[in-house]
Amino acid sequence: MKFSQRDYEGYVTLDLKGKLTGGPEAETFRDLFKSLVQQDKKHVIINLRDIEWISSTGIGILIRGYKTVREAGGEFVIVRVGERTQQVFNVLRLDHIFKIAANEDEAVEFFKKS
Amino acid sequence: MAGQHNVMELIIPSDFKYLGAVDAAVQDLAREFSCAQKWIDDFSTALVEACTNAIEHGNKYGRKKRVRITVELNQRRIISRVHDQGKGFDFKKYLSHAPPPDPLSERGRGIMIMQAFTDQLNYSFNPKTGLCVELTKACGGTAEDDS
Repeated sequence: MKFSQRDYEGYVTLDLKGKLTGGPEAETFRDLFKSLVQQDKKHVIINLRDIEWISSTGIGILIRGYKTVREAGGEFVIVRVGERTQQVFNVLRLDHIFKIAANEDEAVEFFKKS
Repeated sequence: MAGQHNVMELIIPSDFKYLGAVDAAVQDLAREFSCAQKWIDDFSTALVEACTNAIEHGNKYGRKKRVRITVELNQRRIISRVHDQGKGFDFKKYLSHAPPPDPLSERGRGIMIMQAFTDQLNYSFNPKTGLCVELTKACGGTAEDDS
């Protein structure tokens, strides 16, 4: 999995690409979220548009990021979930944990209301 | 695809970066049989999960250890067996009595995924050859159903 960081309407947006499977990227992601929280960037958008599929270890990466942000008082919104990833989210009922939005605009609306 | 039958064997190192190759191989095999894309995706999701467990929990990322995967596809069903070189675990407990993971746990969802995306999930353990996970799914739909 590769990722890049950009700003959308003043909020950190992470564009993930490839296969979300864990491994070395788990540590990179953990460090990134710690760094974001330290910079007081507590609201984060995770764009999964270019994620081909996700494994249970990949879900662990997302949950760790979610917990880091939430413990700092922030919000964590996942956008543009592909069909295959959505199937896994449905089975594990992850929509009960993550805020899932159609796109970045919907995520921003959520941040403004929270 | 009546009458067709195909068997594939893959051996991968204990590294997550090879999971993509497993997915791609299953996708290619199933497309040859004109299987529906969602059906392929569901089965491959379960298979990748079995390989993830074999790498992480079975082989513990051992550099010299391998994961052997066989995939058998015919007009009725697909069966895959994933063999690791580990010491096994109490799979009977996990298959029948395991509580769902804490919602905020970062682990413990692999078996749930495999059970959800297959019709049958079996484990066996041989001290000489390691753990084998067998995943079975009946064929459902063809590529024509995708359109």
